[in-house]
Amino acid sequence: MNRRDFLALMSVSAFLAANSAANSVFGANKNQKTLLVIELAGGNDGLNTFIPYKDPNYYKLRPNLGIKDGIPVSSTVALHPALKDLKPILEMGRLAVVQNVSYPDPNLSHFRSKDIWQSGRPRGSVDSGWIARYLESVKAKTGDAVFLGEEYPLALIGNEGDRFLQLSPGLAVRNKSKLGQAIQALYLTPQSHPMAEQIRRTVLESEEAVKKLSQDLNQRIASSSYAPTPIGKQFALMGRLLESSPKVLYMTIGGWDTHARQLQVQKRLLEQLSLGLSAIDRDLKSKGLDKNVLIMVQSEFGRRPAENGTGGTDHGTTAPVILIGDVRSGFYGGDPALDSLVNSNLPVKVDFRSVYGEILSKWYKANPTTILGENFSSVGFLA
Amino acid sequence: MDALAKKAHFFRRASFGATTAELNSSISTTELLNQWLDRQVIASVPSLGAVEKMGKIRLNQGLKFADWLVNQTIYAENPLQEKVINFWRDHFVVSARKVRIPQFLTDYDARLRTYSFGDFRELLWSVTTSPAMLAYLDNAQNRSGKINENYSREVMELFTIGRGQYSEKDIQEGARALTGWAIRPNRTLGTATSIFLPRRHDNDIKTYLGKQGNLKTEDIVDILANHPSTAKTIARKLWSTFVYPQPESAIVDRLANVYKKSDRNIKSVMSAIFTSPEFYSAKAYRSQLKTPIYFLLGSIRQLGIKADNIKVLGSLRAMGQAFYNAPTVKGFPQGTAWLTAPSLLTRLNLAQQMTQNYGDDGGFSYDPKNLTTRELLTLLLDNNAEPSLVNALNGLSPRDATALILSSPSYQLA
Repeated sequence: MNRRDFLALMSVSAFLAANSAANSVFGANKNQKTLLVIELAGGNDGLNTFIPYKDPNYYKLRPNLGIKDGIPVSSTVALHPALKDLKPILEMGRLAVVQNVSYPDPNLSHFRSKDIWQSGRPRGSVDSGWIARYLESVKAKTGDAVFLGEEYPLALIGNEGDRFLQLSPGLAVRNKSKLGQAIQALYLTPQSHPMAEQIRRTVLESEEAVKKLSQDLNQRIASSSYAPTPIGKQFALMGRLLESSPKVLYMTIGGWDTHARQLQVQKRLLEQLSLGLSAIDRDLKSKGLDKNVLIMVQSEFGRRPAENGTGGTDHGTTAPVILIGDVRSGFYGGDPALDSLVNSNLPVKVDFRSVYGEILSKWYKANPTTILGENFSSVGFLA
Repeated sequence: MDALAKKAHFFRRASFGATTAELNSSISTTELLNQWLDRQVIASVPSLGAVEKMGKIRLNQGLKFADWLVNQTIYAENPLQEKVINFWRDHFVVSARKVRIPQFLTDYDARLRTYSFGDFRELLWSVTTSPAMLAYLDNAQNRSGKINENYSREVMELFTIGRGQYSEKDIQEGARALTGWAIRPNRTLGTATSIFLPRRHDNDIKTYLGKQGNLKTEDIVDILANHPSTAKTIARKLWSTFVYPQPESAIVDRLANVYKKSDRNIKSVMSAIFTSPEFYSAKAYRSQLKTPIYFLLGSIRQLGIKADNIKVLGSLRAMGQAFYNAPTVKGFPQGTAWLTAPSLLTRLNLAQQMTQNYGDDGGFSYDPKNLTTRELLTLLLDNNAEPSLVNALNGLSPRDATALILSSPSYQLA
């Protein structure tokens, strides 16, 4: 039986029962290494996330969008003010940032570039995900990786099309919108057609699982400083899932495609991100799991250094990758070379597969070459 | 079924769902059926250029073909033919996971297009001797003295007579008869041909399914195509795809008889299926779970949505059904096997992406002014929606209303 069949047979509740030890803090496996991937879908603007505040070119390129009140953390980098909660993490030595990350000849289509990052194959075929290939190599089970969200990512699709667990908090989270409420109402009403009813139950089962996981979520949110926002709740849910010691957790946060109104939109998103990251970091420490979980935040591309005419930025090339956990703290990959743009875009200094390769070899103790097809020099953020 | 339900049902089965124009057209479904059966369009698959090494150019060739397949499926002049071709892709499985040269796949698709409505024996011959299948099930490596039984087994088990109709000995003897094929790609022209090399062929006497002689590939194809169990396999599978799963044995026998009487003519079997009284029965109505390809491409087709095909291909993969990417030789999951969280939850998400205005990050563009909620319910749900859905639609904007209908359990049924 392959995993696909297994997934079809295994209900989400069965997964939860199998992981019920996780209800207690002591259920977590202290030898487990977990990677939590957070994908910022849409293309996050790296230059306004980690600001090159000493570089005059930055303000020349961004007369309206340049951020002047960043929080300096080094002689060249200032954090976006909304990232103030990341500063203590950096000072505690648990935050590394790799800048100027992309791949040769970057592609500026959202979908194509997502495929490239998630497959780890800028040139080859994109029919499997790099994380799934790792998981297959260690014969992982369906419940060893959990995707939280609606659009199942390529990163977690195996060579044979195998899938891992998917939980969708969307129905619950979205119910503030009219459409969310309507979907909710629709899926709460039994269907007269037997197959339609089966469809309804399959969708609801995933939501039930999220509900069960979320039972004590409000209390957690109060005690662990998770924000009571939809994104904050997703982070709290991640914190809850981490207790069951999965090998991988994967979550997507959308909305980063800031062609317009970037100042407001990105600020709000970064605030939520940094609140979530710091809350989960505190949560991990309080459970003694701070050496068992590595968090990686990535985006399919960064944005154009020069601002556009509508208060935003268009698609660019490189983006920073954020790593939180038992890392060698600091900034890697050099400063953005605003004085030597290539076709108006930032030159690539670090291949994202160097980051993946280092995670595979140092974090998972796996052979990165078999997963990525090539060998890449490591960046150095892991000891 | 009332007249509207009948017409919509016809389009759901013969096509991927009706467009508004099709549903309102005065042409009867009988006329349309005859047109589609008779006027076949042999669309030419895209030419991909020279065979390239693994890398970006080859990748883009594969994307070009996938892009063409998406457009062909959505906009084909003869949707029934397109659906039958899709059926053969699911039946005679080859996968890009193993067949790494995209030119082999375009060649394969062209073969399915040419024979999709013709003589099953010719189709089986063309598939058996195609570079893609020779590569996918290893028959290109099967030679006298170095037997590889892969194709010999699957051609009986999955493509023709089915399990229980042959012995292990038949597989071994069949493999010997199938020896001698090699693939000869012309890398410069980007074409793929297969050739028969007599010196690689096992020229001894074989005994296969009761027949004896120095059997060759053409004999195997002949024996299998004319086997009564093949007629039943094809009848059962076509009926399950176009009408309802697990047909009664009387229906299978009836169709198998058409297959035999018409000298294995697929068009005749299709015609018999669509003119069967059971085709419009309550048992057939909404009896199938749409596949991911059906859900996504059908929605785009029915609602006239503009889509970025790279987004479409990524979404198909997320749901588990990218073209020419079946997980095994058995093909994609069938019927209710698509009742999985990744398949269904991604649909809910796509229902919103297809209909909301997300700009270029969304990958879809939809004009909600074209249809009122009432018209949407007519087009998508035969004016026959569950009261719970009608209630939930109250007070929603046109975009939200469309998203809700596409998200509804009943819309997932064909």
